[in-house]
Amino acid sequence: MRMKPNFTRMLSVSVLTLVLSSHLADAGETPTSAGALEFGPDNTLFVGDTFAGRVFAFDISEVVADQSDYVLGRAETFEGRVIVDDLKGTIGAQVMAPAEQITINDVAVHGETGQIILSARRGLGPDALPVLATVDKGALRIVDMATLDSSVHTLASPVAETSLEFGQRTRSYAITDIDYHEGEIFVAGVSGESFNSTLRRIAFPFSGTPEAETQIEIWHAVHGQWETRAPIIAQTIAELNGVPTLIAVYACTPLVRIPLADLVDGAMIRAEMIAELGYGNSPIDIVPYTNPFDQSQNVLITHTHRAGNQITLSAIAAADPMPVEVPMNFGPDGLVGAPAPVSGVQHMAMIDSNWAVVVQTDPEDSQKIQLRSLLSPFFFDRALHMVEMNWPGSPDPYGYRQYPPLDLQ
Amino acid sequence: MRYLLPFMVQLILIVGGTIQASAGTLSISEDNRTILLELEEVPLSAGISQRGSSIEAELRIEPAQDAQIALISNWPLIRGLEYDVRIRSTSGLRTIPVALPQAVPPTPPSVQRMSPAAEVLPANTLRLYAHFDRPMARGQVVDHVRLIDQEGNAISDALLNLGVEMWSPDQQRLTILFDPGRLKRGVGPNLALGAPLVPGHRFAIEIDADMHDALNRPLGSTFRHWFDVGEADRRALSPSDWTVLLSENTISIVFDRTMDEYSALSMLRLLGGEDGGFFIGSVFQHGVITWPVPADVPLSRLSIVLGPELEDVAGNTICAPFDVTATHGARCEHQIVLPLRDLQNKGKNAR
Repeated sequence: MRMKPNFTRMLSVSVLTLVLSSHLADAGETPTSAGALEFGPDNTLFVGDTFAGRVFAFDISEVVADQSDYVLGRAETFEGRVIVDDLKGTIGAQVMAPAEQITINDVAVHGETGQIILSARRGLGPDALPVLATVDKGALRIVDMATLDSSVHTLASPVAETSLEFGQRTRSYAITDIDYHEGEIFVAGVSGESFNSTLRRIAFPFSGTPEAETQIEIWHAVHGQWETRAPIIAQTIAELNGVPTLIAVYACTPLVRIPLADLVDGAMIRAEMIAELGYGNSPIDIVPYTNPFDQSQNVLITHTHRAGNQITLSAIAAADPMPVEVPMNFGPDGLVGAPAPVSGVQHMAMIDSNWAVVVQTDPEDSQKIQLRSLLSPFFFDRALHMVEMNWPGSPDPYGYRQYPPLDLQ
Repeated sequence: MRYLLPFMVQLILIVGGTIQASAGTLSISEDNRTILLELEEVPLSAGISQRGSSIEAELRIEPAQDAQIALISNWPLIRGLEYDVRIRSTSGLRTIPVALPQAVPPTPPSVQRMSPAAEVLPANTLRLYAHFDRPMARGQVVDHVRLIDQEGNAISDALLNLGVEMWSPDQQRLTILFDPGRLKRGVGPNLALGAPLVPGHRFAIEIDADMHDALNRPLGSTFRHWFDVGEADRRALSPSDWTVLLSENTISIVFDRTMDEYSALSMLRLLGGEDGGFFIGSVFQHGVITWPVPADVPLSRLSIVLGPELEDVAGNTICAPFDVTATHGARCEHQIVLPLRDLQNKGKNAR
């Protein structure tokens, strides 16, 4: 006779205490991989170690140098510069690997010095090695991570996950973004074996206590009809009307905002959707920047397959959540801002209010990746586009031709 | 450190314009970072570069056993590439060509199997896994893996293209994730394009011939995994619909639907071993999970422990379906422990 289980007799086991997960790194301890980058306080660089499910916090005081006298381009003529021409080849030469075995993972800029730092991977197989490199006034140098002081936080495993005999992880988890805000880092990621939408909030300095990491489950409420878990792909933290707020993009393309105060341990957050960024495309970054003309605070959202979205923070703060009845559309909807010509940009970070640094394909050689400067707030370089004013004898309403050709060494 | 690769190389001495050649021995450590060789004197400095590159990486110099010199690189030599080691000493500059032979397997890489292997998948299937017979190279999935229809046409925007690829740590198992934006009801991509899989139709995951392994060897032939599509499954997991199969040495659970293999392997545990511990060594085959359990273990002692992240192929969990009615969603965070005797039991032995 078939017996139906009596679920009232089920024993529900509480969520186990998170495993002790932080420590000062052992001397010479280095990450297994180097992915998402984020600067924190006091010359701290956070590096997402996706392969091992950890976040390293490196003290990079010894490797950053003032870049203020490095000319990034000429704003008057909408011209940036190539900072490193063959980025993968240059890194490869220094780590004894061919360019095709180098993958650029992220770029970040140290605010105080303007120092550019890159994370990359050397090799294509499971024995690939992490690479961290600085770009010092155009000169790329590999950072020996083993010589840096560091601390490590190991991301807590899911409840009840089995592991191999010696605790090795069997599942894949990719850290998609790390953001620092007032003594905490916020770590988003995607799992290969579950539709995990956990956002982790971790106190820094890493304390080594289970309470250091709180977990929030992010949900996507769809027009008041359904809701699903929603892993975050890109995020940033900004103050909207004085309220610290997480601005995030999900894998299924909605743009949402969540007050940080709502991100408490054990919470299940149904974030307010304020835009839908369109299908056939994945978000890459949300880059905060200050418009040098009006000092407004903005974000630029970059994508794999379309132009970027430039949106002011004031608009994000004021936007109403998307209405229940949204007409069927084949593109973006809601608060999408103004387009920026940054399709083809693989990674991006702001150097200052006037310039960004981008990792992008050489417009003349699709096999080559360059590190370039890009003028803000237009995110436009005349040299990269077919612009009417580039033709000899064409109208010159902006007075480009009064300037000599740009020659930067 | 073992030096397993001694081989003969020609030392090219450049001293005062005179080029002499003599034979010497050179070996490489197992981790491909240390070059061990016999030299008449300790070098002043040493460096290494890829053949044809002017950029040289410094080699650390250390004495080694048997009066040899160890030249240590921060980066392991890559098999199949040619390098030049330059040694500077009081007698001049020496350039030593170094190359590690690439061990190329005799056969091209292949797809061993796909998971789930079910012939019919629900229209809201969230992910599949491709198992390769060796580590594959990262960075190529978007170019070589696609969903095709029964006419062989690629379905655009069906798979999620993130900046990171979802490989197992050994890079032999690839997670192929459908774009959740097309699966989630009411979301823009779902409204605009619909779900990528259509009930009543036939589709395949295609991995083309140019997909290559970590040694850059391509598949050589296109792989296709065909399946039929049934109606979407939007039910929370229901253990009461599972069946326990008992045999003399194993306990199996047969599910009422297609489960995610790796979710099941990592989120389902059998409790009741010695000292109340878990049984290890579960396997997932043909949609069934099986544990080896000695015959003398009574059923009454056994329970399954379900982790909160347990999912079927459509992302439905024990707490809720993938798409749950608004405001009814709940965070699935607790383990559930179910006595096996409370599930449907079949089998030869009544333990």
